[in-house]
Amino acid sequence: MKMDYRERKEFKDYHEEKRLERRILSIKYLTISILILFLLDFWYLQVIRGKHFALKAESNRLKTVQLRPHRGVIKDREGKIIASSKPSFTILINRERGADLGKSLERVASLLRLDLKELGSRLQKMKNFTETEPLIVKKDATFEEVAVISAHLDELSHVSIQEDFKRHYDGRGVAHVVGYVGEISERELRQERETLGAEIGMGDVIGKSGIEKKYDGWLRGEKGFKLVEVDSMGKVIKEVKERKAPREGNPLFLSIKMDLQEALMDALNGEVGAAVFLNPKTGEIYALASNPSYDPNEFAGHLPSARWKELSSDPSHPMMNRAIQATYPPGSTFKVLIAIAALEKGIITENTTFYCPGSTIIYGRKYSCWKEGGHGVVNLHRAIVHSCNVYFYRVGSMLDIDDIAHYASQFGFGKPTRIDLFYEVNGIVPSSLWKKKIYNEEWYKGETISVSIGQGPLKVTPLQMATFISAIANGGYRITPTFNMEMRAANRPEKIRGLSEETLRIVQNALRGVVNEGGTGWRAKIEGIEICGKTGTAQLTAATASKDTQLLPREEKEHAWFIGYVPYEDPVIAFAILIEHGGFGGEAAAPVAKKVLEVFFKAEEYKKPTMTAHAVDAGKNAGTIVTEN
Amino acid sequence: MLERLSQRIDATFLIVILLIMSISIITLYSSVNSAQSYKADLYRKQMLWFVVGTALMILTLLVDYHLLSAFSYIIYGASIVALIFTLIFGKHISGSKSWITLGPFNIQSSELCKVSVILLLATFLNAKRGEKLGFFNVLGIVAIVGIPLCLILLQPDLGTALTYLPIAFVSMFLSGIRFRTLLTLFLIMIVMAPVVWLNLKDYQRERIFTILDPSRDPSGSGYQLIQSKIAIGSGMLFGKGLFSNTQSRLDFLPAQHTDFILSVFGEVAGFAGISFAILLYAILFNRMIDTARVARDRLGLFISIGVLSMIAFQAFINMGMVVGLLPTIGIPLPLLSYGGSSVVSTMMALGLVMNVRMNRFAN
Repeated sequence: MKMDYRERKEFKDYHEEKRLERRILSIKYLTISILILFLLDFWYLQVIRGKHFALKAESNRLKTVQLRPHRGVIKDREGKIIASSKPSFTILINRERGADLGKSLERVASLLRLDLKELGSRLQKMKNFTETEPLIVKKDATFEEVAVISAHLDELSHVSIQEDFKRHYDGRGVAHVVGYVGEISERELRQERETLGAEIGMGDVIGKSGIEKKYDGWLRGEKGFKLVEVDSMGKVIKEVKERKAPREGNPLFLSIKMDLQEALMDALNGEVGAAVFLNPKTGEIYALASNPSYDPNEFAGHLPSARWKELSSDPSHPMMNRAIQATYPPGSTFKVLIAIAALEKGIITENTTFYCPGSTIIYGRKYSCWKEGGHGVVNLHRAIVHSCNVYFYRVGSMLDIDDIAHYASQFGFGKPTRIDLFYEVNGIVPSSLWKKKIYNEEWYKGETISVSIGQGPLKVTPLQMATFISAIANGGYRITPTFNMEMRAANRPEKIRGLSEETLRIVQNALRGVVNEGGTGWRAKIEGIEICGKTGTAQLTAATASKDTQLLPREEKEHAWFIGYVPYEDPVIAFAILIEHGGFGGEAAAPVAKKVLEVFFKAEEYKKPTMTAHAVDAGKNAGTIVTEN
Repeated sequence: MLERLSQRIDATFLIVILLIMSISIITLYSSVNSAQSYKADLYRKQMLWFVVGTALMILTLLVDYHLLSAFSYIIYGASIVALIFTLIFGKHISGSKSWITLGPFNIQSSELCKVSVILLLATFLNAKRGEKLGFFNVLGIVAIVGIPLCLILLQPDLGTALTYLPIAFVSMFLSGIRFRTLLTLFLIMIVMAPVVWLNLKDYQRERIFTILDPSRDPSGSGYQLIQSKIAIGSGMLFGKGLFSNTQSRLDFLPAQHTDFILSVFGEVAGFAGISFAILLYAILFNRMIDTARVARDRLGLFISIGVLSMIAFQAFINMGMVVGLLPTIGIPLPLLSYGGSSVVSTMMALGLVMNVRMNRFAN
């Protein structure tokens, strides 16, 4: 046995070496196992889940950029531009990449001198939206702002400038007709997805009121898109071929005559009220004004909420379209309807006379005429011409309220005219049924007396008044007022039943007298043109009936009406004018008509007595209208 | 001398290293995008680093490792001085002071120090031949690794500091450690864990949280992970090919030329390419293990395994990071990631191993 030191040491080393060998091997197996584990991991990512990630990579790289269409231009009937889309620039920040967003934000704020805090809080609010929705830093940026940002675009990795369109409105007083556009709200998006179509999304501009809202689908056009390859900051590297050009919105011609519209605004001279001028045969509206108004251009950009509050809480209600949304008692203008009802019912004839001593007693109550001394003996013609209250009190006392209601609704009162604007109101035509329904009470005969001079619960809109007078002008056809000339042919006026030509002739003749025979509408008289009209002075309270209205405070003064048409023979234009608290219709409203009509006939180069070529055309297109001569 | 070198130098090492270098250059080249100029000449710089690295590798090869071992204390000491110098005069790059500027180059002293630690550790353990490591021996190892580790933590560079740990642990495992000692070490580490946790920067903790739930921070550290997976995954079986790697070219993937270079390569070359890269690393690691087994002495063995543990650990952490198994702590993939110091230290370390292999028959 060799048991020397060396041998033992070698023996010991042998075991040590073996142990070392085992340890090295275990390191080897561990290393290889780990590498195999990673290999499996890559296999899973690249082969099993490869397709999924490939798709993700594509969507990461390619971005669909929406191309907004030009909104259709709105023109008046002569081609003057009322609303158009002008290029504007929007500066926005891409939120898709979080890394240095703060820095970009800070830089933009300092370059554009914007409030960083406000921007920050807006960014915070955007957290609820998808990342692809950019933060709009500045809408409608000025040329200088765009230039500053463009110059620094290299360092502003998240910032981009988007070309956009901003609606621009020309012409005074068109706000209530064309309305305005604005960014779709979340609520609108939810509610109106179906009617608006799936294409509409957040940030899109839609018509919010007026013609813009009514014909939104026509004006909107179709969005296009382009595919761009972007880097991780959303910066466009290059445009990919695929793209679809946006389709511009259709142009819309309105029946409006801008010169007339502006003349009407001038004539109203800041008075609170509304007026409509239209073609009595076709219903085409030439001018529609509501005062006070607002500037729709304010809404095209970013309307500050403070300004919105100011507008919506203004006691003079500038946002309300008084022509279709405000109702007033029609006052004496309603006498025309009473006359028609009475004639048709056979209660009176053309020659029926009453004596007006200035007041009369019916059912034990005294009713006053507006003229203190009275009109003396009056027939129907004189009663209308001089607007004698007593005559109509007597007629009213013989009429049934339901007969009045029947004729009123035949002429379109108490329901919307179906003009192409939203939010039109009904007005009120009282009847025995109406009173039962509203107050659960019987109708008193005495109430008919005030209705017969256009007072009482009766409420009409200026537009209803305009369609009413149009029906008388065109020989008894109920028209649908419209701004859309394309709809003219489709818009077939309906003949009012139970209305004789004889009755119409009597009424028309009387209306001519109102202006031309020294009647209450004399202030509207224009030499050489036969204007027909009827004044109205709508009392707010019964108490003011006999008082000197000149002495009343403004808010208690009567509403002034003047409705009519021109010329007597074959009318080409009809109108209704209302001045809130204007006082006497003949004093406050008739001169407005005169001023506007002067402009109208000057422009039309009206030749008495033949119709203009234009009016003949309009009449033919209207189809069924038979003009009376 | 050069003749001996050409005869004895290990071809496997050389070929594998060359292939990995090629992958690195190609990948860097393919991630260049005309719109982003900062990446434009990275591949050229990397080529330069490879040249410098190769030169230093050959230099390390030429001197017998026993001679290097004899000077290991001095080399180690110089490295520590460099680390301290970095802490004082270092350049701040993305939040840590890990760089010293030498002329046109930024040098990361913590990377270079690794080689000296491996060398000293091997020298130290070689002297303890045949003994089971006791407490004081362990304390010695802890000191050798701990001093630079602490200095690097001060920079702070958690990722690089971590790469020192496996060198120590694997060496201890190899040279045999008493169970009692291992237990003590574990206890110390458990006690230290909360201290380390408290000293971590918020973003580092966040990264650890993110690994548990990447959707937690889709735009921050989770973003890297998501983008990394998209890049790798979308490469599918055969990759998108050169210059078609949109995710990396369009900068969706951050740190793509350093920590996430494997994701870029995965996008370019697909699973086929990744498998090839992993195979190359497997060959490289196996060659190092083999070198340890055939080494003439324990010094050679410890050097080989020390280098292996350093390189393999970095590779594993990096791979685990890009596939989302491990937190993104910023450890480069040896020889593939862009970066001068990492390339140079890795090549020098490999030079040491090749040195050991070359001298395995010497007397």
